[in-house]
Amino acid sequence: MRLAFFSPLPPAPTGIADYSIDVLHALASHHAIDVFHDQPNVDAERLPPSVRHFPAAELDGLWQANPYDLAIYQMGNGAAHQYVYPFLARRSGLLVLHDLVLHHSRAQAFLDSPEARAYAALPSCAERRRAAAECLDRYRAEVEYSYPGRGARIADAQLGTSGVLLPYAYPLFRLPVEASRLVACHNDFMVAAVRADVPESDPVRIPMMTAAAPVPRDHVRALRGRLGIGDDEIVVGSFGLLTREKRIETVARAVARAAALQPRLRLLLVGPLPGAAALERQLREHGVADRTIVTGRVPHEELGVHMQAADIVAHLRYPTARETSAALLHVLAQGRPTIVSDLEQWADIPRDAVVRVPLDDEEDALTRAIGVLAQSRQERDALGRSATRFIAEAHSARRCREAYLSAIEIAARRPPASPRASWPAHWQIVVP
Amino acid sequence: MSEGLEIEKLRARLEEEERRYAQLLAALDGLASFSLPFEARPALPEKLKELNEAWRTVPPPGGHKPGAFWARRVRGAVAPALEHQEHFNAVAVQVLNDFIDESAALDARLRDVVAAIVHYAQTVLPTIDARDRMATALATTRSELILETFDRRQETLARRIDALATSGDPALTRTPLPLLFLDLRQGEAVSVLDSQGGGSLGTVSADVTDGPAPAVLTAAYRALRPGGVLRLQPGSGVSVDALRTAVQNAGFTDVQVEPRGSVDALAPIPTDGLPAATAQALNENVARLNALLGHSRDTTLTARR
Repeated sequence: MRLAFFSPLPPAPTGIADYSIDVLHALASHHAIDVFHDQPNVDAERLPPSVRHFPAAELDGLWQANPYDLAIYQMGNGAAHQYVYPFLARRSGLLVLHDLVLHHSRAQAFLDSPEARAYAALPSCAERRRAAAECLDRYRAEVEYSYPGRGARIADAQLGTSGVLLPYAYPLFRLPVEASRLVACHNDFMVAAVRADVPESDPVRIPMMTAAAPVPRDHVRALRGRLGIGDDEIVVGSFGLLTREKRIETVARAVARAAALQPRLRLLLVGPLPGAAALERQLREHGVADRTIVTGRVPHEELGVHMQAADIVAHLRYPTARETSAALLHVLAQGRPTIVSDLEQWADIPRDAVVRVPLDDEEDALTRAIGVLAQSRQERDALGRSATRFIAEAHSARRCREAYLSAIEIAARRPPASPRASWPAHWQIVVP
Repeated sequence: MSEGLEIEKLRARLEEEERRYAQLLAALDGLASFSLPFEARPALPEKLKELNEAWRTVPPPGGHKPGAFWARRVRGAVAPALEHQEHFNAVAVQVLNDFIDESAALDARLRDVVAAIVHYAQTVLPTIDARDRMATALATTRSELILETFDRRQETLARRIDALATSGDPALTRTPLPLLFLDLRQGEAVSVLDSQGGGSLGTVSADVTDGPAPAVLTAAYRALRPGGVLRLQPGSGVSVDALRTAVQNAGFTDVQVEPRGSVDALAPIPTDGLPAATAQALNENVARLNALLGHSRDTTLTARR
């Protein structure tokens, strides 16, 4: 089949870009794939040779010249995926939902629109005010459609107050799901949630592909040496984009408390960090700045050795968009003993493969877990073995590829979703 | 749920204030555009130059021609007046120059002031908005803390229920109670099952009176979650084997046929050596007792989705 594949690509700063590279390599020998993106630069060397890439603006022309059999959309709760929305209703396809919660980025698309910015720059201009109001009305219409009878209050609360939790309670995925032929998610919780909200969607699950990166032992020793980590020091690592949801402050406090009994504890933070100064201040406040190493973003090919440099991994998440965490699967693939937040969407991870901390006892449980694991090499090794076994069985490239091929077949057999009269007006798009 | 009356009033007042504010800004914008004297009257600088050059009176006649003497005598008689006039002209021109210069400076200053007022008016709204957002941020922190606590507690409870459910105790599954068919006809059973979400039920239990019903089994299969239990009580006249086959064909696995009760049935009493009527009466009572215990020749068919 000819597939139109929508996704951010490296070097876009999103894990989904790296994920899509893996998926494209898995599918390239089965289908002819063109990737459509919305970024100025693409690291084309990482693409399979047969896969072409184009700006999304060229899709309609290419489609009309030589129609694709199916569009595949990689959708997440980030600005990098906003360009996909106009195509969802026009070219109904297979929606791969990485995050259940899309509200944050969708609201931002309207609040940060050119019309809204223009009005903010000149509030006296009635014309600009009208254009901005129309833009916000589209956002309100989407919220009202998804949450009938509550849309106005939700939109007002979102626009007029601060705080991060409200969008998590109102995920705003209904329209993208209804516009799709088929929806695929990476975990059972999301599948059930989509099905509960849109029963006719009948979503499917596609395991997220993960494989351990081979890392020579001497590379790990060398890296620890470069980072100033002693042989007898126990490193607690946290990997991925260091956002508020990763609860780095909680990890820092837990390490500080555990270090009272385990003085040789170190903290290793690996990943892009939005606010270096704020993080530094937090680490100082909790007294762990001197035992913490912050690497910032590391090249994709070096992630494995950095993960192996950690003796224990702390992978907290709150609030959660119910995503399957690629970073978590990666550390498990590397056989790292990992402490995770006890979240419903991670329920399929075997009990013996991770240590879970409940959300209502996060810091205390994490502190205890770090203390126990730091003292027991045997427990760490047992966790690591179970983790690698789980990943090899449940997240192999073969399983992912088969699930994708099956989802593609199912989606291609289904008719495109028809625009519904009840959809907001800006979703009533006619295919050119 | 409609908004409170207070919020409605506040909203109406806010809309009115915003409308007035927009009108004010538009009016100020219009007033801010005006020309300075030199911009409105482009000929003015040239005329001023002319005036500066023309304030002097006619110079005295010179030369030695016959009329020049009398011209000088006449000029000498009116010289004081001419000098006075020239002095007046000089002062007038000087005053005019000064006045025009000061007017231009004042007008330029006025334009700066108006521009500053317009700019101020344009930035007032964002400033008020920023202050307002700060205030709401502080106010919503409290609700966020409560919401976060509640949300975290909910997640932990849900995970605990999950853990109990996967421990194998069927009484603690997360899914709703089994669906009981009471006097439902086959068509009604199908529509009731179809109204349930796919994979949403833990158990479906039914009395089967009319034989295998593929449509009901298919609907039950869809409504049950993976691992969910189908429990059927075939009535008299329903072939258990046919029912078992139909259940397997519908996709169910682990099909078991068991006596309906969970307590061992009483065995019939041996009749050797007993009068026939006595043996019959005793075994009739055994049968009644077994029926009270939930035993008969009836069976229960269970299967898993």
